[in-house]
Amino acid sequence: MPRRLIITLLLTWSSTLVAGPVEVATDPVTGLATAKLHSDGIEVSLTQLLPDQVRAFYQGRGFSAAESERIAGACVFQTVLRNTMPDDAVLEVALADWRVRRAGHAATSPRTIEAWLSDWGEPSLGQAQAIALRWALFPAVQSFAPGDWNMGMLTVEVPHGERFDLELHWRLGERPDVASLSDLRCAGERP
Amino acid sequence: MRTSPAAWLLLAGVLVGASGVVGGAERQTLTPLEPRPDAPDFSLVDMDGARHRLRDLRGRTVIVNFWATWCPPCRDELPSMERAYVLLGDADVAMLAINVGEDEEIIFPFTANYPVTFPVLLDHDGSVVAQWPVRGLPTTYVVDPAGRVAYQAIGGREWDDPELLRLVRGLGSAQ
Repeated sequence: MPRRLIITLLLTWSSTLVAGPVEVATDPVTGLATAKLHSDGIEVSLTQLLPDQVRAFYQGRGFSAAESERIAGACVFQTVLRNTMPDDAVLEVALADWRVRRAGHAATSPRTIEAWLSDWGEPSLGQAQAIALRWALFPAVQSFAPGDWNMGMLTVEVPHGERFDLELHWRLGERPDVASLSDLRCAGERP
Repeated sequence: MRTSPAAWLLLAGVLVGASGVVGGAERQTLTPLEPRPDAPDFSLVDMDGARHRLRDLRGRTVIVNFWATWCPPCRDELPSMERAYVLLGDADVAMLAINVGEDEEIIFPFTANYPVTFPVLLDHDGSVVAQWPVRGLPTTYVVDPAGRVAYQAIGGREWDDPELLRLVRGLGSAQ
């Protein structure tokens, strides 16, 4: 049975940044929010993941409780990004260009796969676990031809339950673009 | 910390829901690669222990798909891959689904729910996927009969879409 989203708020864009509307929806089953950006040539959605969901995913991939706790301690969103251009324009994304903005804190970028693996050390993590981590996280750099899309976990260093703005940067062909998803909330232990 | 059973159900819901957020009813595309690079060769066993080498398939078009059981768009596209494989039976097209990093104990029960008749190959240590320019799962390449990569598709597709079938068939057989 198709799942229904019960709350949909259309927020109009109101800054100097270039972007289309942002749609925010709360899933009636999980209680988790999805923010979805539509702009010229790009669609991005971020869905909150509960820490317990992150634990479940990684423990299911062979992580110990302590290992899964490291990732669950981050703020994790299931992220989907698609190139919606009708022509041949290639969409290029680098997470290092994105900015996590939180009142009273310096801007940061989302944590990359490479940062996780470097911090962890693949030998101590185990080969199977390192493979799962590498392929489950959203790639740090990726090019999308029209029709291409990807899904992965995006991790940001924001405490559970806190709010932040995510500034997204990308290039479509030669054209740089930027948009913001405002007032995102890191899921707490409960939705 | 123990993970509650409810978390598994919620996770499944979020993953399925998230795949549908941007994943449905989209234009089906294959991106042509020009010039066509040589496809990195590999030799992997399938779940029955039979070995498959890409180079041995020269003269045929080969669809090479990288996937994992935990990846929602990978799961979503498997049924359409099977339908495409059947529809392409009249053409000389091989299809290889390379699982990245999982064991037979995980994949075998999975295929009970997602039955396919094309070979599922095991890239246990991720050494094969590392030789291809894959950034995320699923990613699929269409290798022409000369062993060159003609098309790529990042993210799931409806592989039995008529346009995709036309492009794959258009690569023909031995050149």
